[in-house]
Amino acid sequence: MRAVDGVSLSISRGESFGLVGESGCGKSTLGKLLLRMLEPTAGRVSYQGSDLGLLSEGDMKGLRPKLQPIFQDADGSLDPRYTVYRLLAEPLQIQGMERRKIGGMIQDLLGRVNLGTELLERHPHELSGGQRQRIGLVRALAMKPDFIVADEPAASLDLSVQAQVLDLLNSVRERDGAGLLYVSHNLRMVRLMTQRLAIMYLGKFMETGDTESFFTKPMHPYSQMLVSSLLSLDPAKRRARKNMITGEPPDPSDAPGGCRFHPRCPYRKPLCLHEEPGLKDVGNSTKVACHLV
Amino acid sequence: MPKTVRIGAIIIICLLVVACLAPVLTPVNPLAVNMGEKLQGLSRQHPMGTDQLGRDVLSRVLYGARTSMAASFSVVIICLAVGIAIGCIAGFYGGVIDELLMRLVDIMMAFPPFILPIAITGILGPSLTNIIIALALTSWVGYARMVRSSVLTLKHLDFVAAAKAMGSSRSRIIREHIVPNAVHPLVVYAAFNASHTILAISGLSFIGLGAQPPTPEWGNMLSEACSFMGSSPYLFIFPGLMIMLTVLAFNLLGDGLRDYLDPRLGTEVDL
Repeated sequence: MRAVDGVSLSISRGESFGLVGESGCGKSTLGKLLLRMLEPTAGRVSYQGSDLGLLSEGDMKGLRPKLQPIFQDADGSLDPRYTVYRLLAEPLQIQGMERRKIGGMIQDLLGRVNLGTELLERHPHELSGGQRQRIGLVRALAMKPDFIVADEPAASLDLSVQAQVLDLLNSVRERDGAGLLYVSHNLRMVRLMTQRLAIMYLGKFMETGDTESFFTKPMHPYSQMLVSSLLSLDPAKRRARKNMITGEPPDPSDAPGGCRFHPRCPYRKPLCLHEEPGLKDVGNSTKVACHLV
Repeated sequence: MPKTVRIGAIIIICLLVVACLAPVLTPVNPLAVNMGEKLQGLSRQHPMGTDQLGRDVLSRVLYGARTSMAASFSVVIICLAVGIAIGCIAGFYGGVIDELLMRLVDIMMAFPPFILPIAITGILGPSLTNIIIALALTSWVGYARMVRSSVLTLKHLDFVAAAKAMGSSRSRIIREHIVPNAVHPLVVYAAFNASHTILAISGLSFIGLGAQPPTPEWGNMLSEACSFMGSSPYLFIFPGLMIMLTVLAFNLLGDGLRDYLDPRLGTEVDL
């Protein structure tokens, strides 16, 4: 099965790139591949000019701190037997920080996400979901990463904490110049958080381009459906919503031939059933994989 | 904490104290033969009577705790060390190493539990040390399997991925994250294994393969008492009771810990 197939993207320092798709389309897998948490069967991931796939395990270990994941499920990403203190000390110890500096640094880290020192002796299961997520976030940030893959970092949080987490991510990107891959199925968040994006469907990019122009003028039929599925505040526009997404995405292990989207596409032509469209440059830094564009 | 854990733990602690302080608790040498006082019933001087060689049964029972506790703890500690090491290596590295180690485990498991100790003592000669070796050889496989399966689950969890992404070394991940989490369910297993070991040692000593006379050992004492069962029943009642009490204590502890440590009951604790 090909969870991710023939995709290409580049993210520069200080840039935020959105990766959008339905559940199971391979967006999390792509994120893991970029961090070499999974080994690709083919293809290249390069970071500052070096091909991560060619690095030995030892060299990679030196680079890993610079490439950090933020997990969707903070519950699973924190060792249940660790206290908050140990959870926060771990990244600092790995970086070889002196013992006496660790205490102060931990207070600093907690302050960045508005958590108090009274949490230090607690275990993950004694924290709320929002607290856990913030601990997970600040652990990754403690590594001073150059590149962050944030997989639905705000999905399980209530709105006030969500804003806080997203603000922190943005400030790390702007102030420290970290690149950010923001993986989500929440279009609204992606519009807020990213400058460029890619729409993924069954392991392939359907459309990539500038975030703002994507939302004003989506090109691919799938993109159009996604954008029109956002509830508009204007009642007249709301009534005009016609291209609703119907059906479930097919099983990725048995992807349809031709264009992968054709079974759900309202505009499909006979050509779409046989020939798979490649990504075409349609100007305005946008690329679309559709025969009809 | 459940009552069973407390009762089990208290009995085991008492037995350990008795084992350590046996020389203080009873000034009588358990090996001192006195044919003049053989097979005397319970008396002020010999609260549990004397055996067919006139040895004090009380002091033999107390020194027996020493033998049993030392032997079963040795077996459990050896098994924990070997089982954790093998289980971690197999589970974490996988592939050919895992395959080889697990086939070895399968081979060990294919022997009926009592055959191997009997065969090993047959080769090495009957002694307490050889019985410890034999029981450790047959018991470590259960530990290894448990650790391996925990490690297999653990290594795919996000917190291990997170540690790896931070650049932790493999040994650090195993040491800091895998082992502490994998050992958790092993505590219960170790308690049951200890009780099983006590029984096995007594059983093997009873048939003459374990501790050799004149070493005071409960199984040993039972076997010597057989000939005097009708005339002097106290000879087997006291060592028998001790075996029962010890096994019961470990079973209570294991049972209670299993409930106590079950995360579904929401009373997760740190050991």
